[in-house]
Amino acid sequence: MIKEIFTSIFLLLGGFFMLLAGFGILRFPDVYTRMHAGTKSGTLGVSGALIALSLYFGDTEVTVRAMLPIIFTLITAPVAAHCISRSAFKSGVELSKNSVINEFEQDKKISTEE
Amino acid sequence: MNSNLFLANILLSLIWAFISGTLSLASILLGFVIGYVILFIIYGKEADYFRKVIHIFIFTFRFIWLLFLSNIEVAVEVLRIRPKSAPGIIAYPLHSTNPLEITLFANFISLTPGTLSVDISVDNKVLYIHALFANNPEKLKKDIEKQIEKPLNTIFN
Amino acid sequence: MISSSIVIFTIMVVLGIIFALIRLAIGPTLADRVVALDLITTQIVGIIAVYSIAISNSTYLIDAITITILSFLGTVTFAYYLGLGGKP
Repeated sequence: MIKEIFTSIFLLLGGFFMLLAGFGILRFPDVYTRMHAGTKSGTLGVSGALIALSLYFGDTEVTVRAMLPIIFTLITAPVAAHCISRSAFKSGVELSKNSVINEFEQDKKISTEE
Repeated sequence: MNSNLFLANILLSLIWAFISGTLSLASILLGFVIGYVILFIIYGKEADYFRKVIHIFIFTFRFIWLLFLSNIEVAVEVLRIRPKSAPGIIAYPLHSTNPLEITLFANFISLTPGTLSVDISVDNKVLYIHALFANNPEKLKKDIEKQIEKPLNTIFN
Repeated sequence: MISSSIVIFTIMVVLGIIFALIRLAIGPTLADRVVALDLITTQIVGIIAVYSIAISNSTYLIDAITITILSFLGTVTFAYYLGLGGKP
């Protein structure tokens, strides 16, 4: 019984964050803010679903196999976000209009002048 | 010294798991804790391996908590009818020169509240961070230093 | 209890996939589309997890691992292409 409750809690939490990631990716104004939603909420959502799975089976082998995608996602999601945002900036994608500060652009101008 | 102690600890945990007869995750973890205590009794405070393990443990839990907090922050921002985010890119001066530490730092930055690493300067001294709330860059930099860089630094030296 | 939460989870994730698909269709730049695709693969891993719970069989977990690695490779390749100055 208590196993079912915890499984359901983790499932609902994961599903909520997945929905949120989709909604955020639709709603935020530019690539960089969209990446905030995609990376963080996506990672937590998939972790919630896989933790629910390992709780449901309660088996060492399944737990280890469920931990592997979580660890891979935790390692690869920031790297992927870093790659995309960096190359997006290089290819000239601009920040949204309500951005307040851009120290990257300033530094880049200085370094190209040299 | 450190890696030797780590290997000894792993070996002790495996021996514990074999002796207790069940090769499950729980028995290996319990063996790790018992081996840690035994090695601590033998070597005491000479080696800083013990301090490091505890720091890594604390940092892991703090990281999970920060990941959860960051999702709540993004959730509130997404569901707000009139978004009040003020995104921007700030330049964060790095204090460390260790490549592994910088890599880990950039990854943790990407997963903690409101920040995302964009690029690193050519001389590996400045990390460019995209923040959701960049109203007050100085305060943001101080927060990042206190929450992530200081704990990570204690692990690495 | 688990069956109802499985249904709710599936509805939420499918809604999330629909949102990401809309972004994939209208995204103004290539980077937007790559972010949306990355999110869709993450959500598919979630769907696989909940399907494994629904049929009480953990065989498909291997697919989840494979999809995670492949999606990372695809994202990095797209980012490399963008960095070389590729046009959408």
